[in-house]
Amino acid sequence: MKNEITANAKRQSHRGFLSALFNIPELTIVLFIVIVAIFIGVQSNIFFTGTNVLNITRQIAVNGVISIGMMLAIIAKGVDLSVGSLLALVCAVAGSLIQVGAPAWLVLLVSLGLGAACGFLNGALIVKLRVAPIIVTLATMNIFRGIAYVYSGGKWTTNLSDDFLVMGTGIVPGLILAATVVVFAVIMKYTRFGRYVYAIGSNEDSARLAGIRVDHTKRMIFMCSGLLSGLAAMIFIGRTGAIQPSAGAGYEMDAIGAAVLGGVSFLGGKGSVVGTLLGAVLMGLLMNGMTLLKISANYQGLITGVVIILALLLDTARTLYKERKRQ
Amino acid sequence: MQKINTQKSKGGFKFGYEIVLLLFLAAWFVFMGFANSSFVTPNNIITVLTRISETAIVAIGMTVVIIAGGFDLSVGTVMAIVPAIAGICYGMGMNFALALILALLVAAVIGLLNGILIAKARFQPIIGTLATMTALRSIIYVITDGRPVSTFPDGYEELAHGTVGGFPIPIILMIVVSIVFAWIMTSTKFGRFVYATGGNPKAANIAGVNTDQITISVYVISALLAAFAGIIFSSRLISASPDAGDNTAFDVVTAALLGGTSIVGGKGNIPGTIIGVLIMNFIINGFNLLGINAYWQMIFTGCVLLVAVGYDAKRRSGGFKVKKRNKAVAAH
Amino acid sequence: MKKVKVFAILALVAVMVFAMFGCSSEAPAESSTPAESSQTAEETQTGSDGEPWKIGIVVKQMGAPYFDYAAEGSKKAAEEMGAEIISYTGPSSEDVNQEITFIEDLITQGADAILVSTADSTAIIPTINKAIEAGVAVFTFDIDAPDSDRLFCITAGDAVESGTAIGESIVEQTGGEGQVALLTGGLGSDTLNQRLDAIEAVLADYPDIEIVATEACDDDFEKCVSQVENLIQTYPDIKAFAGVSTVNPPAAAMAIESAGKTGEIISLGIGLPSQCSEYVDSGTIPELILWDPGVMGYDAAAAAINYLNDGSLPQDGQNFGEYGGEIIVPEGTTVGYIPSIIFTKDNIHDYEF
Repeated sequence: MKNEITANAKRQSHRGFLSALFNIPELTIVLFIVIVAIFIGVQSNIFFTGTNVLNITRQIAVNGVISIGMMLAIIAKGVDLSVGSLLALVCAVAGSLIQVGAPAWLVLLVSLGLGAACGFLNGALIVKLRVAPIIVTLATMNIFRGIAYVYSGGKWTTNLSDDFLVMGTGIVPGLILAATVVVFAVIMKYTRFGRYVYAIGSNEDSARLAGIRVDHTKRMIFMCSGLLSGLAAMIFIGRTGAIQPSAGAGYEMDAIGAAVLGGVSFLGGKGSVVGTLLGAVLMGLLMNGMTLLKISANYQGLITGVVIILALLLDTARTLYKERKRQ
Repeated sequence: MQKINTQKSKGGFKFGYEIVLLLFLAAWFVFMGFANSSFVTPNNIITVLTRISETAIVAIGMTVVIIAGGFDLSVGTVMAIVPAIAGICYGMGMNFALALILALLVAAVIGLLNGILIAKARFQPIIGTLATMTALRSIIYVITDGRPVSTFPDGYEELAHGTVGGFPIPIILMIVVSIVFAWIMTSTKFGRFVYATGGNPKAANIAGVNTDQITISVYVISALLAAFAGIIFSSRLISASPDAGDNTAFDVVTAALLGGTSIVGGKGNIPGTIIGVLIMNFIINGFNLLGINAYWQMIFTGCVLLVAVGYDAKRRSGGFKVKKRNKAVAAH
Repeated sequence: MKKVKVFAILALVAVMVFAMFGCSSEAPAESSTPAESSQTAEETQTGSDGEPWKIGIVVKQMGAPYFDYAAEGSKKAAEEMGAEIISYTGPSSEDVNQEITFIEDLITQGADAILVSTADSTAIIPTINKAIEAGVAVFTFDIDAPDSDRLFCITAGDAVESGTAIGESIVEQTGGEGQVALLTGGLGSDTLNQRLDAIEAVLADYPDIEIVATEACDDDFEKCVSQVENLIQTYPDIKAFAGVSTVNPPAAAMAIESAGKTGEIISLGIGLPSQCSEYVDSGTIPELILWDPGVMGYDAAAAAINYLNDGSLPQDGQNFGEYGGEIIVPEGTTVGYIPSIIFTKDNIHDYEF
């Protein structure tokens, strides 16, 4: 037994670099993205062209931005199911502003403000009622969607001026996503708020005892998630050139998928901004790749499901291997 | 032993919440009775009970899964794939009973797959079942080519449209399934193990409960109940739609949570869930009769969920929350 | 226990307040409901035609502007002919099960007629038959359920016919050659699948037209934009996109224009003029096929009211007045057709819907 341990230790010191690499939590998802990208790239010569890469950045922007808010909620051992409906609500309100001729900057401000306010409401309800976030946001998911329809009467707003399309064209969506990622990566790593989020997710009671303002932090988390939904709504409007109150249906599941693929755990306290981004990238690659590889629409869901399972299996295998090594 | 005791005391405490839910339902009946003359009529009540039987049966499975600390998003797709498979096999000339058994086997395998992914491969339930849900919906499109399947034998519609002793069969099935599972959850070893697995898996493991096995079984149960509901559903429509059950998962989770099931596991019961299903559906029914459209219904059901669960949480945490506050103050 | 009571009272108050709140926005429907149920009793006794008929509208998707316009048309007919639209409702996303719920509740409510646009022509049959048995006059509009006992259908063409029209439009606009991609909403949607089949049947006669792909976007506008972007990358020589759901043509046009392919690739299909006018103006959508949903709703309601009044079903060439126009009823059928409209640069701004 002892021999084995020393042998293991020796082996580890020999491969210090490798084992450090092995311990990067995002390793499996990176590996998986590389495999998928190579697989698509080999079969389609269009995949690695500049236009296509730019297309992918635009296509993942909405989901990517929402996923980061979702990640915050999940790390704090919650979840935010209302993101898709909130996106629709923000769209509906933005649409009514555009119809009365509001300038783009005002619409952007109102959208972000409304998103943040609704997110804050989520957080406040969670704290006040002491109910699991999944229940509160399940309820507000219905409420926001209902309000979006009632407010807009189901009507679309179209013929948007170019000012509103800027956020959805060229490299802008990619830039917004990149900026969001950088800002939140810094927040999560270097600010007190970021550390509190992890602390609350790991053990809320200890966090409270350690003097962390748990309630305040929770409200902030959901406010951020709402704010990001508002931001995503603006990208959505820019990309579609149309405002529809039915927008964003099912986006909460895409966001959860991206976050969990990126290594965020529902058990709380674990996950990273970069991982979440990579999760969104993998989902985007799949969608792009399946069209490029000319896969029939009927089979696309099947492939997506299988790839998610494989990616998670790889992650499980790694965890098990690590545990065994430790023993 | 201690575990069982706490369970019992919790059960007693929970009973109060169910009374509140029932009071609410009664209040709704009184209000609707005044607002609309056709609401409190046997005809309307039986119509509503008949159509919610499928939701109720799926919700029972979901409740068991949530009590065991899990979550099953794939129920809606199981509801769709089972009758589709049965119909297609029958259409190809297979004996219908055999086709049904085959379809139920497929459901069991799906449940098994969910269970193994979650218990053995350690997937988080929400994402594991999300993946199987996505894959299954796609498989349905492949096998049906997106078209509704309507090759069912004559008399198949009797299952959903027939009556026994004046009661529609779906209502009877719903009541039987509810009673059976209420009994299983309260009075059998399996039921106690499910609560133990959801309440504290580590402790349950130490106490000798094979939590992996329990986890896998609850997903199989959930899939089989969803399959059963799917068969009733297709019998009601005499057609298996590839898009069937699209909104079912969220509907039944809402009902279960409204009925007092705790999303973190270990707490909840079947009667509560059934009351949750009744409340959600009679509210929608009442709104339809008043001519209030689907958007207001969404807003209102959301508010009901918030108020009910918020109230329950306040009640339960009443005592220890004060303590916790004091502790927090002391820590400052 | 005291707490329980307090809560029960609070909950009751909340319910009342909310119901009032909800009702106030639907004032006509609510305020008249209790009064009317007594009226119905009178009516059946006296058989007088003076009381307003109660008509319910169930559509396959709420929040689709297309159906909102149809419901407005029905309301117009009801106002003119002395009937009342007691409810206009539908699921928030296509779901035949919820449609059934709405129809059942309309039967309970004592509606005299129900206008249905179904999401699934097969699954809806038992429910329509049940309504007919209960003495409710069921008319379908937009999408028919031909195998049910419904009395009559008002449409501009069933899914097969509208699909054929799109197919012909593709042939004409592409000159009978080139690569084409089809876009659809949901893969399990009965109507959309029939339209796709019809398009494929038309294009089968033109060997030079190649259908390279069929993508489904679940009626998500942004997903459709992404798919078209990807398709443009995959098939650089593609000439046209054809969409069978109203989301598709504007989404495809948006993607075509932002990829800078205006003039090289066109977008065709079924769409609402109000959502597509900018792309029709720019030429990305050379022509768009639809009909006036308002007229459809108007004629369906008018046909139902006529039936309730004197038991007559529409005849070939029946005129529903200035707004409703004439309908064509092929001999031996119970389907009435309103004219399809082809929207182009010249006429698209003449329509409001």
